[in-house]
Amino acid sequence: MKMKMKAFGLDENERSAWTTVEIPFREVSPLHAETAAQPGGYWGISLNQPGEPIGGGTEEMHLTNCPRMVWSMQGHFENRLESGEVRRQAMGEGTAVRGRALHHSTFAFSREPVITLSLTFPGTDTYEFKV
Amino acid sequence: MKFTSVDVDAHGHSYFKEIDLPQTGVPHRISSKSQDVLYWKMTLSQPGYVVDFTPTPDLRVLAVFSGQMNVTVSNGETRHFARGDMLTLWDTSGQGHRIEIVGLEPCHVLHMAIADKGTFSA
Repeated sequence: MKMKMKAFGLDENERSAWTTVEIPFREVSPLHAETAAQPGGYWGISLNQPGEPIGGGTEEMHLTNCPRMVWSMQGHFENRLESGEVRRQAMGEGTAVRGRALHHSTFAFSREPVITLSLTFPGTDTYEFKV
Repeated sequence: MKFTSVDVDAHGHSYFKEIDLPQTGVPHRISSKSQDVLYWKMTLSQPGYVVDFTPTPDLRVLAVFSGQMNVTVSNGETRHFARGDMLTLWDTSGQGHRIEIVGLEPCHVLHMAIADKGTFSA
């Protein structure tokens, strides 16, 4: 089975746009599935207060220059890509971040402080899941 | 930021305790220092799935993205974890802990294995 996760991608003009990645799971029993052990780099957690100002302003976009997954563990945040599309991550939801995908993130619209969990992978752009 | 941790005492009994992961930064954003990861995996378990008492194979940090699970330690205490909760498993020896997936929806959990306790402090 594969679990879909929303992700930053690049279109044919190298502009960031939403896509999905598929994370491969193997079924261990009818009640349990898991991924293979995957190489990781580092993890961290942040507590972000809702509202402006945002570093760089409301229109800034930036690169991470490394592949990463970011989940909301409390509150919600939004990401806008160069395509103009904005998607929201609520508690428990994650996004696969591509290193070369420009994006703007904001915590402005959450009604409570936003806790984000990030897991950063080796490399500079994309990450391949082991099967 | 406080985390619930499963640790082990000198007699091999597991127990819950609170640990802290220091955060620094500016008023509108504070962050932990980056913590190295040996490897990670995700699990997706259905209600009714049980892992009986066993120690953790590595020091681990768990994050629950959906569903609910109960963790029982060997002194008999059970704590409930649901979407948005995180915990650490430090009981690499002794009697270990028991995990039971409860509720009505699948439980999606991220497991991050770490080489040491990083900047966590008791």
